[in-house]
Amino acid sequence: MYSILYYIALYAGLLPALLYFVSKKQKLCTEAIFPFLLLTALATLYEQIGTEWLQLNTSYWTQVYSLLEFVTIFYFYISSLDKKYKIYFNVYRIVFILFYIYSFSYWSEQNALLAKTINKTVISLLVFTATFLWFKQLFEKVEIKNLWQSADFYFVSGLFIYYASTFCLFILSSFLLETTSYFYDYWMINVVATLFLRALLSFGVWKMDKV
Amino acid sequence: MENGQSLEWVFWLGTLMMSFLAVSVIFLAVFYQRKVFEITQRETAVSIKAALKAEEKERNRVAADLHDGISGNLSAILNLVRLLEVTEKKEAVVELTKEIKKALETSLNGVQRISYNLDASFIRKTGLASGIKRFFSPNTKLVRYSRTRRLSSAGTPSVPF
Repeated sequence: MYSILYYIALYAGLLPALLYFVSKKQKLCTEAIFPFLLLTALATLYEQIGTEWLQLNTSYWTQVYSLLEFVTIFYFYISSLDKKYKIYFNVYRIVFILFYIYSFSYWSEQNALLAKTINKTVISLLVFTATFLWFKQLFEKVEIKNLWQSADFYFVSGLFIYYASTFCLFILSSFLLETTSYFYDYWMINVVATLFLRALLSFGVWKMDKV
Repeated sequence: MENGQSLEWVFWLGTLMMSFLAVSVIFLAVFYQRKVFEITQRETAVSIKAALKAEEKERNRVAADLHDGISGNLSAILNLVRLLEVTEKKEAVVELTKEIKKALETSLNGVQRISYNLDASFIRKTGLASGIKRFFSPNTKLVRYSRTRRLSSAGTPSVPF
């Protein structure tokens, strides 16, 4: 059951980027979400080729992925929100840089989980803040007439649901790994949340305006 | 072992709370859609009210035009026709016929003017500037007509307009 869900969640990472290239005829790569879609597809390919086939150490990819994840999500939110919220992003940018450098002190080739926890915490807080600001802006401006037809709504919701539901998992992951032998049961939460995120990303891409 | 168990409790409780928070975006979306619906309803009501008011104003204007212009002319024509019925002198009949004809022409111009002013499709097709020009053109004709008449009756050029 775990393997089935894992592989479905893994290959679902290719779907948003594929849908994007198939449905958009012009003005490719201009949307704010595009870098994150590309990163999601890249992560799938690396997991399959690098981790599964070539058996490369995941510790290096974990650290690199955390940086790319922050950059792409940061770009998405800063492009989607008004300039008046720039100060929040400047603060998060500095905080992430500091914590990212700090995470290297807990990183090792054998165990990168704690470093991942540190990076994920900052990214999660960024997502929570940006989601709150996005909804605040939404209620203030009332520009979107039908939220269910808005691609951005699905992207924002997907990211928020993923980072909220996996927040406790990533914070306690290194402790859970040490104290329990059923770690993969807990890791299922990440797999299911990832699947949900990728499904919402795909749906959002499908809802994007075709040019 | 106990620490492990309490950690598990914290983990599941925290995850459940965060998941519930995550799902709350759906409630936010529903609440937002209701707000948009209410705003749209209010805007529609305001638009309908404005349209009804404009229509009422237009109807009042047309009624005033008809009453002030056409109604007066038709009353004058009716009086002239009554007078024509009792007149026996040929010269008076000719003069009265001329007056009736003139009054009828004025009434016809008035009806045409009201009709032009009511025709909105002209502005939609040709633009506002053409619409304004057309609005004033019937009056321009009347001005030209009275100017010509003054020159003819005086025989010599009178005070220019």
